[in-house]
Amino acid sequence: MSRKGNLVAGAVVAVAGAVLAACGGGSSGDATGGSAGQVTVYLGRHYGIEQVFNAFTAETGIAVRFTTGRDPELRERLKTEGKNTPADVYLAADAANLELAATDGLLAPLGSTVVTTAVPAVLRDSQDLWTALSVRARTVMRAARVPDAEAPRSYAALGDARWKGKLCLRPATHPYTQSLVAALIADGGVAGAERTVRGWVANNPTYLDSDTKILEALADGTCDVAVTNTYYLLRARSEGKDLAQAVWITEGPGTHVNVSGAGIATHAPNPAGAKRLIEWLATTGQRPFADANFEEPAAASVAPRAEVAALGTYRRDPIAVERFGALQPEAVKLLDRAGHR
Amino acid sequence: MTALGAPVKALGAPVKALGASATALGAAVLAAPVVVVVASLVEPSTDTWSHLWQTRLVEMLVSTAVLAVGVVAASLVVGTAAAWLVAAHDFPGRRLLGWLLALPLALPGYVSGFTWLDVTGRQGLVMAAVVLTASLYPYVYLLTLAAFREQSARTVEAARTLGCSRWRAWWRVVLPLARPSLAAGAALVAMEVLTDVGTVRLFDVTTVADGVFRVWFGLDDRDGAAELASVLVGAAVVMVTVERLARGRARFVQRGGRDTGVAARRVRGARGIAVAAGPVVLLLVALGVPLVRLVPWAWTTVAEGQGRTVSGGAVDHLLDSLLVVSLAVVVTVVAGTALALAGRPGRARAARVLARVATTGYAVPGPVVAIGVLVCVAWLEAQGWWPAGWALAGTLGVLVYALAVRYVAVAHAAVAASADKVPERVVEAARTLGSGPGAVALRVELPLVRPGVVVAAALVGIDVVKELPVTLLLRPFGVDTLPVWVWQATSDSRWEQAAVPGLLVAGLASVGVAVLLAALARGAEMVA
Amino acid sequence: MSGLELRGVCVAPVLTGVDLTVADGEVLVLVGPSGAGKTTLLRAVAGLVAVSAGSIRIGIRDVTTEPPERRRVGLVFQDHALFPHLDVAGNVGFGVARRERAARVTELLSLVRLDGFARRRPHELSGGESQRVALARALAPRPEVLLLDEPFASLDPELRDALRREVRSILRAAGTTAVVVTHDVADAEAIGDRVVALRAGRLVE
Repeated sequence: MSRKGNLVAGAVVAVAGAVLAACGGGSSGDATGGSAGQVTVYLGRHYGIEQVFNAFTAETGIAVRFTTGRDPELRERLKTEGKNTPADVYLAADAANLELAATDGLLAPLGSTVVTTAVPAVLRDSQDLWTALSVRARTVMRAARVPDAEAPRSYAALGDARWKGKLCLRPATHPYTQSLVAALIADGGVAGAERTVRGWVANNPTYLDSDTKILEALADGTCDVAVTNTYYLLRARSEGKDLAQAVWITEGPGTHVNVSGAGIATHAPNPAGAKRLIEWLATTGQRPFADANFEEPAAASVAPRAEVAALGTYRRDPIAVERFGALQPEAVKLLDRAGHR
Repeated sequence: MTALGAPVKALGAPVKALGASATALGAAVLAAPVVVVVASLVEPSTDTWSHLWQTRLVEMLVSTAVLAVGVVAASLVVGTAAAWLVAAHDFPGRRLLGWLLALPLALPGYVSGFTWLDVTGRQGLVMAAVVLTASLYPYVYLLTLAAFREQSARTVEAARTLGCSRWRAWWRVVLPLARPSLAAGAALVAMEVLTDVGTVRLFDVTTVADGVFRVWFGLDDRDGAAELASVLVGAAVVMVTVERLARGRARFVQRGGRDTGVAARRVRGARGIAVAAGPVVLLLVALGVPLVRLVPWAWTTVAEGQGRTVSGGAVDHLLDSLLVVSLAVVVTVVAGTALALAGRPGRARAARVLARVATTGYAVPGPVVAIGVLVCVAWLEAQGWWPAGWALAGTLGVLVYALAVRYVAVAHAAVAASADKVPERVVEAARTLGSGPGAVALRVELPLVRPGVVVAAALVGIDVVKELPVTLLLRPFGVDTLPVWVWQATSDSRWEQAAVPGLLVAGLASVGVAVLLAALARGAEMVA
Repeated sequence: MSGLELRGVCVAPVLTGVDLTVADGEVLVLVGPSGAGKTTLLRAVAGLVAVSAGSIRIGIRDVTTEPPERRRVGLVFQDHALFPHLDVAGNVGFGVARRERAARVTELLSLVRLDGFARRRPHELSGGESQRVALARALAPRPEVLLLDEPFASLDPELRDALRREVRSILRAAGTTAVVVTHDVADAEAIGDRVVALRAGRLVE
């Protein structure tokens, strides 16, 4: 009986070893082989992306395979993989992450006139290491019962005593909040930004780690005002739920926007394919990419989908989005100091 | 010369040396990622620490401590009470209830958490503690139930003849005898609480583990994050010491014989219902509430044809989960068994120390383990020992390795528990009959720790099925497990779409729970 | 030439310089009060416990630094210590080379009068049966020295008597050098060729 047990144990170990070895070898074939016919994407956001990639493949014949994950974790993986990374493209849902990837030397210059012509400079990296592909506004949202005339018209106005106990915010751990505060710092200095954030905190906000939940809180009365991305509002509306109303920022530099964007990995096995994909996404793919998530195309010449346009025109904060990356640690520290959870 | 079979005779001393050094190498390999993480403490990031000190550090430490103590205490009370109810009373539905009470272990906190959030809309430390207790008390419950079953009925009877009422006999005899199991259960619960991030985030609680991520991604300070993670390792070391003290030095070996298990008293009628009420209420909280949300959501999602993701349907994810789980379980259990056998009292002290070091991965939050692993793998690749083009990173092997680092502690504890029950005399007898240490391990210890190996496989399996952060970070292309699906849904704020994978995870983990229950019923133990 | 020789063996804290010679084929009985170190002495000879001083010789070999599996010493434990996961045949044949295992098992089961018990499991055996299996197991690999630790401790009187005579004839038949530890003087007289006492770590005749 002990011998049989030994045999079983030995067999199991042998099989496990063989499988691991096989998987190791096999995957590496995929990883570094990097045939011209395939582009590998490390993808932070993923909603509706597969149709977009399918359209790209249909048009160019180049296959796209991707893995999803949290932006910063993918960046970390890219960093540690170094030369052996299978990734061709890093596609992130936040400008700060893109800029941090660039600062870490993880991205290579795009070198594409197609991109530079299509996408405005404020939405691109000044070193040409990445470009935005879609834009989304993060603005004040008011519950339907709050009259438009009374709604706050600046981020600082959310700190009015009137909104005490009635303010919903996304926690400080989320990149969207961090980038917003980074923009506030870039626009008004650390002192100004800190005043604004402290104002929010003084109103005892409810912190919900989901823009959708925040919108639902607006609808059910938990809050009267909040800050969310516009696409969550539009998504809900497309599902028949009219949860709140967007309020554009008319004071100060304007409404804060963030971007989803992409860059070519420094050690990409297929840099040519990567460039092709990004150029496509910046031109032909603009509508599908932005439409899938109710966002605005980054390219100035491409119109957004109807629902997005129906929100009306607004003044965008003209700050270069690449600045969020460098300011992120400062933003996080500010949020912590101010007591923003 | 007396010997075993000819082949083993020929190998003799080289095998012994190989066995010892293989185990040592294995332990070193398992310990490396954690060592890498802790080593960053050598050059502390003073900026980060001063910022933390001024802002959140105290809150993090306090929250973590309060949460750990609270959840452990609650789990002890709930788990022991449930075990007592099931072990000491015979009421209608007892077997079913006994099984169901272990089931909440199969439901991850990050799934039941958002159902609770949806139902009550409340956040905070108390809610986090409730949800964590609901999903972790089964550790205490299972261990204590097994301990009660192991005890001889004679002990209680002896206490009764000495004047103790039934209740006092339990309080003064049965419970103290179960102390090692209680301590072990508390330790398991505490470890899970220390390293949890998914659940506490939902309820807006900032623990040290959560702080690790704030520092890592918010402040973009990986070294600072590693240093904060080392605090957790330190806490784990303290906790293990406390647990050993709490267990006491006595080895409560009881010859169960035919009459094992504390006698159960029949309760009928109104009393029966009263007794069964407690567990039922517990189950309503731990299982009922989440299911009430998950099942309708799952139903509507499937009805609307949204029971899929970018990576495929339920079957694809299920197969991916099975692939990862089976590989991880095999590797982890083999490693844990080797460490447990190498660390037996008769063996070299160094082996035991090594085993302890190798099992610290359990104290480190998943993603930190993942990064430690990536750093080690990157170093390995940089050495150029691999043929060009052979990339290690991004392979299934690396994911399995990281999972092994994370969970070998569990496998080790379970096998060591069985190994502890192997009488030293039996091992000595084998030695006098001509078997060297290696042969003894193979021919005597391994067969005798088989129950522990089964428990180890079940526990590791349950953990890996539910595991998210390491898998998310290290998975190879095309391998998307069920928890990854849950994450994709929840990260997009679509909780309803997380219901199908959430239920599937629970279903798969339930298989592990069933195996665990069966093994414990047959007299295995969970932790040494 | 077999036989056992101990010179100045010290095992802290109980044994403080034991000198002992057992002739080839002799059965030596070791008596003494509990705590005197009798079991320790046996374990030292078997190699389960290290000696801090002195030497142990078995036959012509000095085994002082050898591990237990190389000493060719058989040990019958007080509580028998049978392998719970093996049947009687598996236990008895454990230390025997695979080639001759089956034959040797049959031979020994015959010797201890347990023919037909081969498939039984240890937990199915009575005290006397289990003790005889332990004896058979220790004898099967043809050890040069056999050590018995309180072999009759767990048995009732009639069984004790019968077993004493059996063990004596088995030892005689096998011609193995043996050391038997017991606190029962009656055992000593029945089994041994020679009796020595161990008191406070030293031997007294």
